[in-house]
Amino acid sequence: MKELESLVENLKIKFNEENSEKKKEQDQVRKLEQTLEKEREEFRETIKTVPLRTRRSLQTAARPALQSSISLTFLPLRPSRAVENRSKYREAPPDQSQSHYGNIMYDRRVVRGNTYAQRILPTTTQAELAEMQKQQEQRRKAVAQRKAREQIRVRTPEALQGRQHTEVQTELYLEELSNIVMENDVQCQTDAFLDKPDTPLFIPAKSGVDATTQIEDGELFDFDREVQSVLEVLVGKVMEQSLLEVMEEEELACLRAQQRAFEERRDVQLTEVQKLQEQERRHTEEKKRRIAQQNEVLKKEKEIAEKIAARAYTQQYLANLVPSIFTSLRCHGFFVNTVQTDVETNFMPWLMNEISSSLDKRYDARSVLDDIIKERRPARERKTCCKLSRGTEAAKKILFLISKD
Amino acid sequence: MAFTLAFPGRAPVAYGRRAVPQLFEELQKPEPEDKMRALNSLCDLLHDPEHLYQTVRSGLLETLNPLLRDPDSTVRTRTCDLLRQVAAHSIGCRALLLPSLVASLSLLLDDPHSGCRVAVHRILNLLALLPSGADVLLSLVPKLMLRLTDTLLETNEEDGAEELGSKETAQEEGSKETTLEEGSKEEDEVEENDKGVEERKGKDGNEEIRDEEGETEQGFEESKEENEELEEDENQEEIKRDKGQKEGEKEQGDKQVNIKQEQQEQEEEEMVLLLSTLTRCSYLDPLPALASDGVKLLRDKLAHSSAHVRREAAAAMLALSIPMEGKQQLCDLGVLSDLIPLLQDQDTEVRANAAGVCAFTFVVTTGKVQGVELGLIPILLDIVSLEELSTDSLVSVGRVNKDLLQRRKTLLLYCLRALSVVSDYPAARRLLLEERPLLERRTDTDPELRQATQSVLKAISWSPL
Repeated sequence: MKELESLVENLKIKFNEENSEKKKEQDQVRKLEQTLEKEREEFRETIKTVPLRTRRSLQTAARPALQSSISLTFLPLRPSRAVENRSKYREAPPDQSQSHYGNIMYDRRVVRGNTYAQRILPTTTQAELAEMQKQQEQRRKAVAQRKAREQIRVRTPEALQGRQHTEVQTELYLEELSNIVMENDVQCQTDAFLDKPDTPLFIPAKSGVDATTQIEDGELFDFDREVQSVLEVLVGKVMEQSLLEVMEEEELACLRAQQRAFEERRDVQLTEVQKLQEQERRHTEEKKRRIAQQNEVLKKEKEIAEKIAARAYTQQYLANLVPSIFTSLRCHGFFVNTVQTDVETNFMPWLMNEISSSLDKRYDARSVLDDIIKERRPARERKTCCKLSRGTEAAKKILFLISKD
Repeated sequence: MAFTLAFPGRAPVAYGRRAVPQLFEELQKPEPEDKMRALNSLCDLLHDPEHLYQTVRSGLLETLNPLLRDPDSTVRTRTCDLLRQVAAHSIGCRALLLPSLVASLSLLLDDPHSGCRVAVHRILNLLALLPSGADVLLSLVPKLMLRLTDTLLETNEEDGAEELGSKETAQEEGSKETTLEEGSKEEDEVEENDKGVEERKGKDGNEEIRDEEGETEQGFEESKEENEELEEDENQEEIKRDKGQKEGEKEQGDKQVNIKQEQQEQEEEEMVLLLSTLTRCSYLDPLPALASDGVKLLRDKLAHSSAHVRREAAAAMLALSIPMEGKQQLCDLGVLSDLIPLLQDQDTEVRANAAGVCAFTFVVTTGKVQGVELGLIPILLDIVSLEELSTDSLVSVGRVNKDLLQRRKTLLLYCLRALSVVSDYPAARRLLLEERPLLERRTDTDPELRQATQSVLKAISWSPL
């Protein structure tokens, strides 16, 4: 009994240990799960408050200013620069004059691995800060509520002194509880594909009663007799159609022939017509030419008559012309006989002058003679003077003779 | 399935009203084979006027416009065949005169594929038969004249290439030369081509009626004989070749010759259609054709190896010689001298057209003078005297000989008219007075011919006094 009790106690202790270990593990797991849940809730809450676009951008780390729901391009806020190496432990900050650039792949700050189960730091802004605080308060409340619930929750009371709680299976058959699952790997491989064989023709099973019938020659109809009417119709139609067509063609040919004959006659008549036209044209042209000729002749005759009349008139008009011209010219002194003029102008006046002078002389002589006579024989001699004067002619002669001498 | 077996290369046709619209919808598919099938079915359908009305009334012809610019040449050719079916009907013809379609067709005139070009020319030919169509095509006349020059260059090149051709072709041509009357190589090949053209006409029912009539002459009989001789010669040639040379070479030679022949046939047909279109347009308004050097270009065609081309060229020249400017140009370019060989041609239609050109050209004084100088009057008199005998002899029944008579009558009429026109010129009158008994001896049953003879006699015996 005591041994049993001691065994039982040992077992209990072991169980307790195991249980405690398990509890610890479970607690750890639970804690981890709780933290995960918390984070998830936080993330979900933050995400829910943020609009869709920014959610996506948060998810894809796009620049908040250039947000298009479709594009996922990353545009840096600042110009890119190489990342400096940061040591594991803190150093005095102003010590470094030269910056060491390290390999970004081995930088502790670079997040590696899948990102869907990571903590995602939401971008904090003023508006969101308030939200953040609210969320934190909510979280605290939730935690507090959970704790409260946990406390209220009834658990199994603690074991009495000297006792241990063990977990025991109470079913009929004990089961080994373990997380390790018995696994068996079994493989199976099909054979290489063979061609599907042809499906056999489905011939349904015979059912019903067989019955036969056969139509012997001559039972249904007599082909030659029946076909005759059909043939007649066919051949008749064909013949009729062809006759119609041939007749049509014949008719057309007749029409064409008639048309041609007409056209030829027309052409022949046309020659006649054209010949007559030409003849007419020639005749009219000839007539025109002759009339024109005749007109010409008449015109010429008329012209000639006019010419003759004109000539006669001018002749008559100009008959007096020449003498009158001559006379006028002569009047104007154009036809000058120089000798004559000379004689007339010079000689004759001179002659006249001479004559007049000689006559004057004679007159003077006579008068002188008269005077003389008068002086010498005044009374009787006056008579004799008269006689003398009557006898002047003789005196003249004497004088003339005197003067001549 | 039965449909595709029965009609390979045809799209299935819906019933009734849906037939045409559904086929047009199928034409919108990008695959050229689908389009070909739909086009083949449409070609069959549009023979029926009801379907044609439906097509035209619902304005589905516009949708054919992009098909005309399709990169695949067979699609283009088939679309042109389809449009040709449409154009054979008056409603379709009028519907085709949309400017967009005409523009697309005019673009196709420059198509590199010759079959397509031939098809387009067929359409234009049918369009030109309608006065409003000819009106629309007047704007295209300069372009058609350009085509005339292009094909002229091409035929020259082809002739040159053929002359440099293989031994077989030279032998072939050599044997033909010895047996046939005409001497030139080109004539012989052309006779083959004529035969080929005839064969094609036999197959294709909707060919130009004019082409058929063109062969129904004295020349027709002669060419038939020549073709038979040709066939015999070809057989002999082939036998010789089998003996003398390897079969492979012969086959190649045949193929080359066949290809060249086909090309030549197509070129010739294109030329014939082009010229007939030009003729019809020029009847309506000759000025555009005259403005684009029509006379000069046509003169080059007058000496073409093929009788069809010559006939059409002469007809076009006739149309151009009706207005005064045309006559002037003809006289200036001395086309009358080119007409002399045509007046002695085998083909009656060629002669008739040439005589017509003479008749129209003689209206102008310079034409008369040239006619007398070149000795055209004796030629015309010969024709008149020769034809006299045969007019009354052919009294047999049948459309073929009615056409023959008509051709002869036209020829005689033109010759007589030409003589009456030229007898305004005193020199010509003197010549003709000597031949007066010949004309008085004529006994024609046809009143028109009698009247023509009377007018000639009256013209001859006119004197200023």
